[in-house]
Amino acid sequence: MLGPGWMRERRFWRRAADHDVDDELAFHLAMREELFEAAGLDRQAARDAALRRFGDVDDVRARCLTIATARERRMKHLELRSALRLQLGHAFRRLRGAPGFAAAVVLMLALGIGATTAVFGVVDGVLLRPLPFTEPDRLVGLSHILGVDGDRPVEQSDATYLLYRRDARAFSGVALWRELDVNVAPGSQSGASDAEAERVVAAAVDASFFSVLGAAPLVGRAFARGEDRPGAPAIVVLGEALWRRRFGADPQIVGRQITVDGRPREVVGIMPQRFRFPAEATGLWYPLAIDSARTMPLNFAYSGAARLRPGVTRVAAEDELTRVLARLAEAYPGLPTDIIERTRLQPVVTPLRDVIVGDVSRMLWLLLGAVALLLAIACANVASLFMVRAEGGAREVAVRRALGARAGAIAALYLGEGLVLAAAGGAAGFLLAAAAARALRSGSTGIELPRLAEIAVDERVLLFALTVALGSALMVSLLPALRARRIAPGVVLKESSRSATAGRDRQRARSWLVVAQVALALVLVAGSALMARSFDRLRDVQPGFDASGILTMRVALPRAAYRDAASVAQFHERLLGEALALPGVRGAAVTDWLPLADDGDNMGMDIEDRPLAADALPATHAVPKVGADWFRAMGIPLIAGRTFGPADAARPSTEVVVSRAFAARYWKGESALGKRLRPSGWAEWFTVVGVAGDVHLRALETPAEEAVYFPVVFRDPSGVRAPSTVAIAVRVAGDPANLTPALRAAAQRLDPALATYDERPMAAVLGAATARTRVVLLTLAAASAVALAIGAVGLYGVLAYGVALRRREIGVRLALGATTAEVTRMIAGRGVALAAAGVAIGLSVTLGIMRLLGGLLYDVSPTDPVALVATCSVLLGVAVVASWLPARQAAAVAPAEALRGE
Amino acid sequence: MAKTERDLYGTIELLVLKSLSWGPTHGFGVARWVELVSGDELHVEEGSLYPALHRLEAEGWVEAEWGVSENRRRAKFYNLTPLGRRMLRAEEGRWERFVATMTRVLAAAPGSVA
Repeated sequence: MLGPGWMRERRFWRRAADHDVDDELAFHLAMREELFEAAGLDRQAARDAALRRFGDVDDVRARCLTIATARERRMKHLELRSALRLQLGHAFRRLRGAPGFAAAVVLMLALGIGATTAVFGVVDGVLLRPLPFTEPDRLVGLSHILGVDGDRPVEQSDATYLLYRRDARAFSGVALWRELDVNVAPGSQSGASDAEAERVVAAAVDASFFSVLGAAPLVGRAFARGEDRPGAPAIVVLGEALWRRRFGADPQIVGRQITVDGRPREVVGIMPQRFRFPAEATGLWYPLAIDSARTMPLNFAYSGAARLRPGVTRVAAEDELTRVLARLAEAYPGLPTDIIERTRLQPVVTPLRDVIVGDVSRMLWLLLGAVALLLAIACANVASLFMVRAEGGAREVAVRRALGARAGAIAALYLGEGLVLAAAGGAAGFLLAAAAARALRSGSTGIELPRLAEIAVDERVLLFALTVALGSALMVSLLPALRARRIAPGVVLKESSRSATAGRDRQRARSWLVVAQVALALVLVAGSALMARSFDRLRDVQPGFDASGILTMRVALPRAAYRDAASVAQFHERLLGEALALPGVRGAAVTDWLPLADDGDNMGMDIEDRPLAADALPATHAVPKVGADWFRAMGIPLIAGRTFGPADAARPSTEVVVSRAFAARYWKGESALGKRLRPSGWAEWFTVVGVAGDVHLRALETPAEEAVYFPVVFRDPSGVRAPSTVAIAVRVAGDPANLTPALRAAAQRLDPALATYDERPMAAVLGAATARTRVVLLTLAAASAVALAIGAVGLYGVLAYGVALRRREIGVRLALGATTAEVTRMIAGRGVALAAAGVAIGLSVTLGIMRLLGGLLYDVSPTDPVALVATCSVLLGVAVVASWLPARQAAAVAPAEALRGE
Repeated sequence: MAKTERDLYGTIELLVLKSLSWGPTHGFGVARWVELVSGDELHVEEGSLYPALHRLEAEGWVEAEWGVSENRRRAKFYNLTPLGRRMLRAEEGRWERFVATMTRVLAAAPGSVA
């Protein structure tokens, strides 16, 4: 039925469809021509007649091609699908016969793929995904670099904002905001005690804030032009989360009044949940009052962003701002004309994403690199296992080849197994990643990241896991597939036993895989060692105070109710009195700047006996305001002198305490006591009455600040001042966390409308300061431990298999008089040599890439010899242990038995 | 009568199937057969045979393979599949009913319908 055999010879001959059609039509025309010629026409006439009879050749050709290509495409699909189904089915059945192998591979791949996918999910959510704003690529953050006392990044002042908004053509809009915490209560009665006030993260924003970011309200409206002028109606936009939690998602709230920091404001709109800016937790926005007649050009108290006009680059925008900024003094006549020159103020335009994400990107990429290394090690190990399995299957492959299977079919065999295993590993890994993402989002891990809420395990992450799984399948099955082509059926089938030569050949490939595993593991272990050294150093840093037994709590007084310094100071006194009356409390003090909290800004400082040159600017210093008992309560030693006297709003103290570093800077070798200083521009001099020990006010990683402690009630050019937002620190016997409810209740007793927040034991603050280092360390350490274990198993496997292959040879050696010690040394030596090769390669790679760790290390060089030597010792030690077992097996070979053969 | 996918596209396909029912041949063979049996009455444009052949191949009613022709040229041979043979029988029946009906209709005298 299917025609003679000679017609079928080209059955699998695949040619391009157009060639086929051309040949077919040419054949037809040639045949017809021959007939016409036989009938007596000359060649040309015959050709013309044939063409005429045929019709439009081009049209026919095109129609045939369309049909033929469509058909071929369909067939290819079908073939591929059925081949895939067949191979996967085969692979599945074969793997059922080797459950141990399958389980080991799936476990390793699941670990590798799971870790990689989990970290990718975080990288994707935090770094890669576009910001949830309209055309986020055009949004930039605006800040400045202030060239006073070294380069210091500062943000915006109201004056620079007004100037840029007026003159910068590069932007279609400029936004300004300031983050702050406010007390929120429903209803318009200030001080109403029926509903407890709540502390909410808020933002005071300019009127164009929402339109620049491209955010539309869920209900109601955003702010309109001019609503940021002084004297504009008091209004507020609520966040969806706050609206739902606090106001029961009542749509009627729009148009009603709520109380924000004691002041009634009318709700005009609700922003949807996905709009989280400037902070993740921002719950409400109200208009900034920007008074263009009374600006403070060098008070960089605000943050700024802008939307670039289409086609304008960041660099072009920065250039324009530099030109515009030169007009600052001209626009604000009160300023010295050379102000830009003296402050060396330079505008900086950054992608808004970088502003939001901050400096975690290096850490995240690093972790992704670490888990990718782990995946590579797992794949190398699985590839090695595949090769052992291929060894066992060499006869099967030889038989198949002898029966005519092509190399591609053999490769498909391994690829099929690789795919089934990687799919299982990938599925398990994906579940692992999903669990990790959920844990991260719930916050139970204690890891703080920007855009945490945007971390999701969705189709992008799934696609990534699929790609990784597919790549892993290719990687692990490639080597045995390539080797299978080299199997000569004759040799394998003739030999009654396993072919020793083929085995050796594979053994070499597996040895290289072991070297690679050791090298990769070394990179991870070296990274962990460096982070461990950093962590150690960081933990050794003396914060400068005694954190044990300290509870801190922040209290903010609504300005409307506490208008003057006297009322604020009086409240502080009463709060301290209540706190000291609590059981177990030994000391208490207030401050506006908790250590390690980066709460305040620096101020330029004039020193009476260190006058500056005429055009020089003073150095800036941290200026915490603290109560008189601060040093005793916090356990900060007073090295010289005393603390200032008790706060008194009627006669504010003009005494200050300086830190040891500050004293050393200005009065090295002499006593600081009795010297006088003042913030630049202030009239009154302050007298140094004490020198306190150094405290890390901003972060453990940065040097202890050269600080000047001012009394909590002080006089500045505008009058007597007392910070209305303070933290109270209470030293207590026993666990400070237990005191939290009592301390909160004490504050509520004084003023029921008052909200307290951020109650934390100081030890927790100290722990959080080392949190990032700890996270990186723990991740790297976990990856290293797994990598070491996998690497050791890989080395052991290769050596043990080598011993099995060389049983005869070892038997001969022993029979010829080799001692068991020599045999042990021979095998173990091979293991250590492989490991040493891996260590050498890994070390050179490590030296090349460890500077990537740079920003995450503290006080440790990326090529720290101690860490690197320890790393090499650990790896070689593990190698010795992994080599020892196979070496003992080799020494235990009984010569006679080995020679008798298998 | 609405055509379904299973219907033949038209007369040319029917001719091609019929010509192949005598045994495998190439496109030129089909053309010669049509030419010989119809006495050149049908005026089939030879070119239009080829799209028809390719369509039948795509449907799975004929299968094709390259072979060598009587005069030692490389040629593409077409052969009916079992499915194609069944389709041919069905189409022949339908065509005959159609022709019989048309003949009856055309033979009927005007006004003879009862």
